[in-house]
Amino acid sequence: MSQRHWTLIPLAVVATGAQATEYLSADQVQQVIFPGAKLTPAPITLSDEQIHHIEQMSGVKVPYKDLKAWKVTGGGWLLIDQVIGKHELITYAVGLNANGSVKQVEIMDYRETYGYAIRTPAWRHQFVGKTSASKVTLNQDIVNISGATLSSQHVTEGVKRLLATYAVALK
Amino acid sequence: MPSPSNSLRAARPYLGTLVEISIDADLDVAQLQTAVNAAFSAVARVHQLMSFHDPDSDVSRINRTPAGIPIQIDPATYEVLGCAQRLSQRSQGAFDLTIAKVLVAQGFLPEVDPLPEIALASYRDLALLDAHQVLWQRSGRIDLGGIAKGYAVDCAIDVLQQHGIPHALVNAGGDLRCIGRPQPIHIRHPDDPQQLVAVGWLCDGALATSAGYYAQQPDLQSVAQQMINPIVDPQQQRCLAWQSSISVVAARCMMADALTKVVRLWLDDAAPDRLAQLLADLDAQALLLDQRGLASLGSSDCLRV
Repeated sequence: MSQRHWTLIPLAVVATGAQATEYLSADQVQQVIFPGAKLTPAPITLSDEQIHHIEQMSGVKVPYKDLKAWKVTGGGWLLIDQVIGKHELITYAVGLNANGSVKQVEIMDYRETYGYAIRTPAWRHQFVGKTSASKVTLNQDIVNISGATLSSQHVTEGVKRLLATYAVALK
Repeated sequence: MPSPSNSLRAARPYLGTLVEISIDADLDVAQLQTAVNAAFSAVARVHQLMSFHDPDSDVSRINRTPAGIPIQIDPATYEVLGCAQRLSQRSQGAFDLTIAKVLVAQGFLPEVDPLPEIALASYRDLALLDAHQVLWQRSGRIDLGGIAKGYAVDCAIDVLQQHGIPHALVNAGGDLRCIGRPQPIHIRHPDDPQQLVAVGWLCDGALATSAGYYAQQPDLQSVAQQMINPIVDPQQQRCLAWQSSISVVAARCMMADALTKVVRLWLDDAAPDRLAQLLADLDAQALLLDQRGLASLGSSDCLRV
């Protein structure tokens, strides 16, 4: 029996509901990516033709016409965008150098969405009435979560789309 | 008088996931930002060297070089290959980097340059030579997806320590390590990843988790098309289904990351003692979370309940 060395640990289920983390506000991310620089708001509304062009160039669908953009004095852009994955909603910022290359990508906030296929929704009933042997306090902020790797593919695609947006609409 | 400590938390996309760094130190915010930037640079460097997708990475150069030709690689990549090879030997091939062709065949990895011959190489066929050179004795393809994230976390922690950061946590998509203040750790339940299970406090150590809930897909090579995950049984040369969540606690995140694959393969093993022995030899502890609950094998000083 391969399980004979394993010992059971009382289970402490501490969180129900989606996790959300905020890393940086729009003001903070400007200073993180372009420290000391002056940024001027320059929001963009893309035309249908531009959207078509961006989608062709990047191979990524453009979800919004409006783009939050700031022009950096001395060259460069800061773009703030959102991507929706199967499990997550991510707001992120991309800093572009004066030549249009990526200077930095920062995640601003991350929210889980309800996309999971729950295999056995009844599993949690087994814990009803059990108390935790763990000293981890139940109402403390959940900050350190380990789990299967969540793909960053949507952020990567978003950056690709923003680079095409730069080429089509900002250059 | 000690100055009040400051903290900083940031996340960037690397290694196909989100890498999060949290630090706390008696330094000003600009110094914290410098340390975090340097740590992310270390992660970015691992990403650049060890990406399967980037044609200029060490991994891609190794994968397209035919047998018999020495390949000069970065010392960092060489270090990871060395660690992987030692674990392959100790686990009798349960951990094996040369499983990339199975992941490509199943669509978990993109098709790159086709190999000139049918590659059946195992870890034994990639020779580590002197002066950071490697050589295929028989052509093969490697993927460092099962170990590079852990290594990147270790590199980031090293850099933060060099910057005088006493308290830090680096989390690369669930593979995490902390220094300084103990950190409460939670694992997602594989049956409902929104439910979190407290496993205890991590103290100057690493914990990595592998589970299937984010990455399952139908088996492209069977008629039944049952759901499989990007974990390969090197002996059988096929992807497995991964219903449970497996975590490993170890001093270094590279070892924790790599060991999750060995634990998975040896869970149903006919020789139950060898997993316990391997974990004991490596001062590692395994945690198994599934419908039956949470179970532990071995013990590590890095985890306190």
